[in-house]
Amino acid sequence: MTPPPVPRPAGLRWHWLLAGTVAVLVAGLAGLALGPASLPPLGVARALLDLLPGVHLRTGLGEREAAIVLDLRLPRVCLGLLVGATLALAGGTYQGIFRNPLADPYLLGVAAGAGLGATVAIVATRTTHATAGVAATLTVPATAFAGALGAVGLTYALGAAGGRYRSPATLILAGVAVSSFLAAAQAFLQQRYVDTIREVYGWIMGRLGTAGWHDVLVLLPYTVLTGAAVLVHRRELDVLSVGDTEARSLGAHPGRTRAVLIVAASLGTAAAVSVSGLIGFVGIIVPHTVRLLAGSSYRVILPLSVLFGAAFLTLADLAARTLLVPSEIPIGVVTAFFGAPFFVVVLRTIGRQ
Amino acid sequence: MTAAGAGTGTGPGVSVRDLSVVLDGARILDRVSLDVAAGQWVTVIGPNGAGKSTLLRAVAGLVPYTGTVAVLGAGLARLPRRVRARRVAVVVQDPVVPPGMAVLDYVLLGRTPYLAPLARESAADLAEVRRVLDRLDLAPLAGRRLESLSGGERQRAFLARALAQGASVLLLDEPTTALDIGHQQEVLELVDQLRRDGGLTVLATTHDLALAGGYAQRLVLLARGAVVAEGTPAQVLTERLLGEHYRAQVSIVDSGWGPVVIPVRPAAVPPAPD
Repeated sequence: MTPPPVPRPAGLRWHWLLAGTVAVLVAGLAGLALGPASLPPLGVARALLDLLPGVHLRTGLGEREAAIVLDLRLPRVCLGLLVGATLALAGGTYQGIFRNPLADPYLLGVAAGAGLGATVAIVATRTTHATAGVAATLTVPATAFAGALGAVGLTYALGAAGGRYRSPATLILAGVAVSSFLAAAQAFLQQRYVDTIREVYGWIMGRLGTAGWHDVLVLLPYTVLTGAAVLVHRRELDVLSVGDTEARSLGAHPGRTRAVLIVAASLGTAAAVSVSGLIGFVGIIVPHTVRLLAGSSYRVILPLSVLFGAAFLTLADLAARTLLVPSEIPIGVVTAFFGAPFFVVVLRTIGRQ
Repeated sequence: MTAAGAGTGTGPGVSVRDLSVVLDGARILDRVSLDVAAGQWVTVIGPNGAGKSTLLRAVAGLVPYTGTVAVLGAGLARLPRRVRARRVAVVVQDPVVPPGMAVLDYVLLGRTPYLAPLARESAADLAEVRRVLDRLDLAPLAGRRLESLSGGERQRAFLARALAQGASVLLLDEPTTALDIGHQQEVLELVDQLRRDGGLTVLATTHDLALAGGYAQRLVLLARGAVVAEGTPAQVLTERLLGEHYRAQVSIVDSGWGPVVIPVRPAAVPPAPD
């Protein structure tokens, strides 16, 4: 009889890191090459390499085709990668903080707060018809961001009101209450100012269609900041998973870790929502798939969620703009279409445990 | 010293003086003082709500308290949390079982107090954990998920996580509550073995008066937040004391290893027919 193999500690295996990187590259390339105007993938790849300093290649693409790749699709793909990475990472982080596998950026009311903020901006700028578009473009991200942070603050304050009886569940309940209230306020505004309903609706459903380099540059620092803050705490999230009492008896500071990570994940989420609208379920689908395939340690889940979240959202966006050519499906519809059944599966798995 | 068992040490293990805990305006513990000599096993007994768990939590530094708690002569209150975690390890009554976590990874979390903030475990940490797993016969289960273990195996995994902390004081809150009688014995024998081999100082709580007298050298009877009796098992496990503080009718039998408490029905009830 051979003894069982000596198990190794949980950790990020190189082959998963490689798989995630390949997924990002494939999704990115597919997002650039495929679309209403079909382009040769090889030419697209050459056009990309051509962008590198010191590299000069004959791409075989025409001027119009090159413009489609570099000016339309490239910023859109980059934004998709960043939004997907941020939302998936935030989802995994919330699940760790709250020890709740159903937690995601939306549970804290971040999305509802951002939605209300955006609606306020759109409604407030609707009267000045000549400049409405410009004014909304400038103010929507800012007010969405303020709304999201306000909602997180409100949820945190309400959740903390439980005093000694405060628990992760209290915070989530507070998030549900805040979320419902803000969503109701948003729906009221939307119905009250019916003339802007189309615009609000388009934003609420999520969209990457109008992505430009501006959006990419707005989001990038937040993604980097959130990613760095969360990833350095990945072992602390594993320590938190044994419960606050034990975590403290192990010398950890669960309250401090939780506060830092809530701020980091919420900042990233708010930034992502402010440039892309409400895209749900990414924070559930990606971390859970990673958990099932590669392991349940946050040292595995968090870095891989960044990679697979980026790839997933880019592919979802590809589906959003190619399935109903010439019109586009809101990307939030695509992610919900896959995400809601997935949520049910996760719910059933928890029920069986 | 009145300790009866073998392997008792001499120096101060745990020394608690005038410990009071107030939670939400309610005084849970009132000027409790007790000593556990190094290498000794002391068990705290007492009715529900007496403050046993709170006492353990205070000694572990997990609830705010007044008074002093010293371990190996050093006051705990002034120590940073990580340093304290290297001296005192605690197994709470019903530990959280993190879903999907392997035994090896769970026990590795016990090395947390030795890691610099944000650092990862070293090869030495892993070696120490493998040693603990071997010691508790958990090596064959190292790759298994915690939730797939039986109750006894799981309790051993909780113990292993605490032992991986390398602490000299082990606090056990109701370590046998969820276990059948065989696993109760297994866990208690294991802890006693560790105490005798490794000089571990043990402070435990229990509701199980049948087992309390067999393992501890000294018992402390806690009622309504205060120490009402302490001494050897024979001194504390008396029909008078248990009747007064538990309101229980018991009879005490000497097992040879210590007094055993047996609940009896009031004399007014006739014995069951055959």
